[in-house]
Amino acid sequence: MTQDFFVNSGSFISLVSVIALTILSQSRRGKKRILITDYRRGVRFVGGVFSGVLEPGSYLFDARKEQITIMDMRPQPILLERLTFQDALKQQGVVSLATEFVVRDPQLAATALRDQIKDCYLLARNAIRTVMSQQIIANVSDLAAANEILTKAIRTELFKVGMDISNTEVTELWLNPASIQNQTETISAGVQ
Amino acid sequence: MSSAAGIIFFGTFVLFWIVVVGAAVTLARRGKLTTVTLLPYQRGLLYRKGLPVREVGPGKHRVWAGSELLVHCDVRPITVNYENQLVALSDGAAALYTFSASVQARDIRKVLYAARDYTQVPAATLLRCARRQLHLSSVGALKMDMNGIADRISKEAKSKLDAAGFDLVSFRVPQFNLGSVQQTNPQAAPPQGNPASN
Repeated sequence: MTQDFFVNSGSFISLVSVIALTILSQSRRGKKRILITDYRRGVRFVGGVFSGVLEPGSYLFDARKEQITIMDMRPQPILLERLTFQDALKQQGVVSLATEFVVRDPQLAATALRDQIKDCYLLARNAIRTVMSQQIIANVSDLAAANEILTKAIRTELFKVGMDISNTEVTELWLNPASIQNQTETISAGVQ
Repeated sequence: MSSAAGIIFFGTFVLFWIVVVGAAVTLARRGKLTTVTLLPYQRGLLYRKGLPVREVGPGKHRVWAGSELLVHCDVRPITVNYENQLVALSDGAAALYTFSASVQARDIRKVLYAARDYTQVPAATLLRCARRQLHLSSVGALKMDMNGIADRISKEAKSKLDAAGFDLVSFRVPQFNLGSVQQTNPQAAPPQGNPASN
């Protein structure tokens, strides 16, 4: 082997290596790496159009063309405490509910809600007031029945925006005794 | 240059470029190697390619920024204190109560998965259990067994917090008053407690 062979081979290897490094650096220009943990999902938009939901993993994306919105799939505990309502018989009442908001559809939740928790809180509160105003509360101690009705109503509203509730519990249900008494007297008077 | 010296030089030269290109590819794939320091009251969970790998304690940890993530949590006790909470009892009477508690993270993995913000879990759980247990009680039962209610609340909260990776260190009900809700105007809304929501 001659000296020329080593020099020529060395030059060739250097050239190939430099080209490889240049290609590698150019291919990563404008790209960012994002890490999505197993309790999150990434909603990917390419050129402003939804293109898919990213599962957990490490992704390289072009920040100039793509946007990734991270959605946290972990539950968020929420207390809806002492919400006042008026039932179908115009009785004043108070209901308290403990629940957890969870993301069901990351794409829908990312596009329909600006702040998932605050917006869902308002949706849930309105759903509770709406459904309670249509109910005749016969037995305030039957929390399970109230829980079922409220869960169904809230879930229906939240499904529309890609959210859901879990671990729901009615912690308080109270009707104003004065209004119940007035109502009973009215009913008794009507019967007589 | 002799043939043996030439081979050694050539081998070293090739090895140099292999190392350079390999380092560049590794950096591109795994990101920079960074150091994350956890303080004595912090615990962490290391994620690699999005999946949990292992729990780590205080100290310095080397993390590849592109493919690994160290999520840490504070294990110092979380103090929860709510004053003058109003609740309707099962017989229509009302109770005004104050409670304070101390909760500490025990199982980091469970804690991190319990909620978006794990620091809200103790307060939400304790408020929920207190309201529920008190609402299920009547004035008569509470008068007969005033201390029992704190035990029932702490027992329920303890099991729920345990499932979320927390330990209930202490729980006290320093103020508890029984009474009735008086309504001057039947059409007016009943008195509001402190909304502890959100």
